[in-house]
Amino acid sequence: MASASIKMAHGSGGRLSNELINELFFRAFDNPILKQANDGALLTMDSKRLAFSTDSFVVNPYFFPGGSIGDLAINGTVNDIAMCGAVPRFLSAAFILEEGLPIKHLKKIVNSMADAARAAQVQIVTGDTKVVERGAADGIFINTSGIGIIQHQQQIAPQNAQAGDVVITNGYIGDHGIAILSQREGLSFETTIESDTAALHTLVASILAASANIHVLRDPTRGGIAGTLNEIAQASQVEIRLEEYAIPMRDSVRAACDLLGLDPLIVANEGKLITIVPLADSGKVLKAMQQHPLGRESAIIGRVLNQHIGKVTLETSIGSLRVVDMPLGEQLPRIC
Amino acid sequence: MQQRYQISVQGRVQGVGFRPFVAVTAANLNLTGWVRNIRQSVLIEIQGEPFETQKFLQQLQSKAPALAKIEQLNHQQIDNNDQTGFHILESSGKNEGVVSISPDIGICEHCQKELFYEENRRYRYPFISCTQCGPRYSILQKLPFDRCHTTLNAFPMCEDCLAEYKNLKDRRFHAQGINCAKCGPQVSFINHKGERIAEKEAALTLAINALQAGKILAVKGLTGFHIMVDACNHQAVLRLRARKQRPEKPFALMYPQLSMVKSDCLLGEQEKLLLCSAIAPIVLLENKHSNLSLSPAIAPNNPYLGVMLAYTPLHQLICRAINKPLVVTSANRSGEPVCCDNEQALEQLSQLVDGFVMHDREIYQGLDDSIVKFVNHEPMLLRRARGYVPDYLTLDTEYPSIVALGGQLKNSIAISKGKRLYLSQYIGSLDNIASVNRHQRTQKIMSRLMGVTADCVACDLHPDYVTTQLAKKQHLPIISTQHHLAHLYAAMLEHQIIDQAFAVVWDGNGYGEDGTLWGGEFIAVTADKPQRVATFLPFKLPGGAAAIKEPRRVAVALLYEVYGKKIASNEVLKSLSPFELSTIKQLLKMISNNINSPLTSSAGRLFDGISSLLNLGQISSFEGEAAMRLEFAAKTSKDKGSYPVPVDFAVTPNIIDWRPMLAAIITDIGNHVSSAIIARRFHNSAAIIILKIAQHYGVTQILLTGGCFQNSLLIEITFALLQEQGIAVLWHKKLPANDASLCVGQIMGAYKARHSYLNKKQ
Ligand SMILES: [Fe+3]
Ligand SMILES: [Mg+2]
Ligand SMILES: [Zn+2]
Ligand SMILES: [Zn+2]
Repeated sequence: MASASIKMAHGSGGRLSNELINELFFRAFDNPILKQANDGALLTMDSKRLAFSTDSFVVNPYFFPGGSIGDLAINGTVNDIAMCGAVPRFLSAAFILEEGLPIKHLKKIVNSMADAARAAQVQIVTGDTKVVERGAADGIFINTSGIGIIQHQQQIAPQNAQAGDVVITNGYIGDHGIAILSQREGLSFETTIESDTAALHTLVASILAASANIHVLRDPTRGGIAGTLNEIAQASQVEIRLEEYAIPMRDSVRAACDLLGLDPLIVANEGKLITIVPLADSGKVLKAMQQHPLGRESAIIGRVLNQHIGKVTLETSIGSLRVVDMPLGEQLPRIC
Repeated sequence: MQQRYQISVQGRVQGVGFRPFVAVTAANLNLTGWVRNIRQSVLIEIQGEPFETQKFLQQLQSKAPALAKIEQLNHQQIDNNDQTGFHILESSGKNEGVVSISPDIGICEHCQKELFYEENRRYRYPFISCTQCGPRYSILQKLPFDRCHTTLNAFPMCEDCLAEYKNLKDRRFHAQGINCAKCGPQVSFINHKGERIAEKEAALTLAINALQAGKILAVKGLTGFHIMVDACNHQAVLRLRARKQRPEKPFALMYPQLSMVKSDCLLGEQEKLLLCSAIAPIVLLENKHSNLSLSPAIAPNNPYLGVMLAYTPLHQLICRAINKPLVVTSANRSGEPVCCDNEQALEQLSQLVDGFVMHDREIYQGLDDSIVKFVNHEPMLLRRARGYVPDYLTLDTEYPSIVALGGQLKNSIAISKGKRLYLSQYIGSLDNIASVNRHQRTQKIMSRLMGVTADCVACDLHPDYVTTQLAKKQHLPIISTQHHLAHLYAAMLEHQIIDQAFAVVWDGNGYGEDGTLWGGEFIAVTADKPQRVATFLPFKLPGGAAAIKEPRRVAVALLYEVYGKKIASNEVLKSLSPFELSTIKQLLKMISNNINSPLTSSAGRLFDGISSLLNLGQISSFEGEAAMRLEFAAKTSKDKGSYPVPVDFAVTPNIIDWRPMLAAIITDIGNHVSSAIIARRFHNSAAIIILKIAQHYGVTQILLTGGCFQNSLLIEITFALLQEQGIAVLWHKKLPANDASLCVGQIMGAYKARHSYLNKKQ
């Protein structure tokens, strides 16, 4: 690794995160299940196929338009399990609380967790609580882990994208990241942008019902769709070519990104998934998604090619082909 | 008693008519022997009476073809033999040495005459050429420069051409590019649907008619496609701007003849010579605004016109028939490299043009037209490509073989070998796949042609530059050089300064050693190590790259540093910003909360910000637009005033505080002082900063480098001011001051790093 100490960018889902994971964690913990490099681990126990996943939530602010850290903590882990093609069942919840956190805030967060769990039909069955001194945490950190059952026989993995496949997403991208940023920094835009946080397992169920040939399922959280698609392009050794005009995006998010100088493709989502399916099945899948309440704005946003292997590219409105890089974490302009 | 000599000649001796010249000279002196191209040089044996052989050796130097550059000439006496006659032998590819390949050459006078002389057998043949003109580097696939190693290998010579080729007395004796209408490439006209509808003379007629009717054509030239349109048809020029989505960036013009240039532009003797030279670049000339029929959309808000002469027979045939200047711009999809392949042109340009003029001579490597500007009556290269590439720089000492991948914008590649540094053509911005592919292909071709296997790769410090990523994939040791140090080293190499230098590096942005964006640096190079001695007080760029494209964001950032958040409520300041109040508030929040607002010390951004405050440029449609407007405004004033710019010499690096200057500018604006005067005072102040720091460090010579020093006014003012104080000022002439030269500096950076590493090891 190039740097001597941890930088914020090591946690951004970008190139530095990947370096940390591949060069430190994977090497130290090396085992075949870990190497699947999925959102969660796929396990077989007593001939039952399970998906197991964990996630920590450190969002600031912990209340934001469209939800709270509590919703994220449930939906995030539910989604990671759902992206393994599994039906989520049981969750754990661990809290790290900062001295001084108002109890009424904690109550509100825990209640939103309970609501989200009910909505996602999962039970929180174990937990842990730690309190740290003022300043040692930022209000509240939550970790959740979860287990789900895999009931289908499909081969779904980031390694499985193939030339000829199409790339589908279930709606407007960038909502969550921009909602959080504007709430945290007190930036107000004409319309309030709300987080898209949602549990996606029922949408996944309709996708799996629509086609028996789903190749990839991922949720583009940290690092945005640029980060997720780069991982897939690398893992599958294919090119993923996006069409700029086809990517669903709210005007308000586009305007906010313009002001902030951010590429919407690297902004985090919490209620979005990417699925990659063979062209032949794409119509069925798209239709099934559009009929689901969380997929009304679903759209085909690109296709899989074997031209520029390992890269994500974007056909721009003026017809040139731009490389969509793996976000580094901190964007520093390259132009002079 | 006869003598026999073996002579080896190195330098630019291939593809410039050198072997025919040797053969003719030998024959005239009744010498026997032979001449041959070996891979990297020309080898000669001559035999004859001592008087004649000595004369030959003299004439080899004094009468060499104009395009030849002899760098090294060795001769030794060898045993006589009894061969008869003088022969041009087949090339041999075995020997190793150093290579000089001729750049592509504009049509020569003789060929021009023949082209329009009805009796000549090449009358109106669009590909007429000879030993002194025509395609060279762009068609060369491998060395030595023989027809069979170029894309002309698809065109076997006819009997007539072969006879000329073999005739010692003919102008085309051993001209590798020889051909005629019977055996050579042909032109065709293809409509926008991609259908070939005419050939040869009929194709030319269609092209000329189309241009006269205001149509936009893609025309395949010497080293790439151009897009052409009648420069006097305003509607047609506007149509081209709309189709290319290029609202303001100036277009170049191609003139049929010099006399017409003279009546439209101020044309000095030097400019004239360069324009008519074999290089035939685009030269920036002051527009006299005397030609009222020229479309005002050619170079809006710009006192210059970029002018070239019709430099190929095909261009001559078209331009002379139109008898007016044509807009001639590199044909590419926005941001992508110049198109040079027929198929590709059909695919990429059909939305842009109404028809194509193509030919079947393949362009192996695309090169844009070079651009030259005159500063203090001396040429300064802004874009180095056709006509200059692949000329090399001479190094002071033997370098290892290093390949330098350059920067992100205006990318070029450099390769060192022995005492030579080869510099690729301008490739462009590596923000699209096509440019990255062109970059990689260029590196491959260069390595092959120059016979270089690099043992180390040099690049920039910026972790996100495409070239940094590419460097990691080369499986070679990587040595990165900080952006502005590379600019400085490029200037040192150009001026052949070896170990000590003091430079002002003012440009846009480059990644600094502290992770911020530098760009307004004073750097001293000593025997020890380079030191950043002074820099501008840093400020934020709200939105990062967005602020680089929108100078108005920089203006808000500068105002914030001086007035704080008050600017949102201060009426005067608010009126200076072309933003809605709500947007200003958000930008201020981004700056104060550090949201995507990297710190920079860039001089280029300072120029941008001032340009925005004077309402000269708010959003740049091309790189450097706002700063150019500021320069042009300043040029119209002769004001001698300046603004206070204190330098804090107590800290390292010294900090140049631009805030009092900004406050004074705001006062001037409030007092309704004209933009021209303020812009001029700003330029004067910039020169004073340079003088102050140069004097503080007691330097006697200072280098000016970085993109800001494409600004001729800034150079001229600085030069005049410092010269008065006995300080020599050196600026770029042979290399662009911009990022295209980063690769050159990276070579020196890598060399120095390796050198000090080896020294430490010992
Ligand atoms: Fe630069
Ligand atoms: Mg996760
Ligand atoms: Zn000629
Ligand atoms: Zn012929």
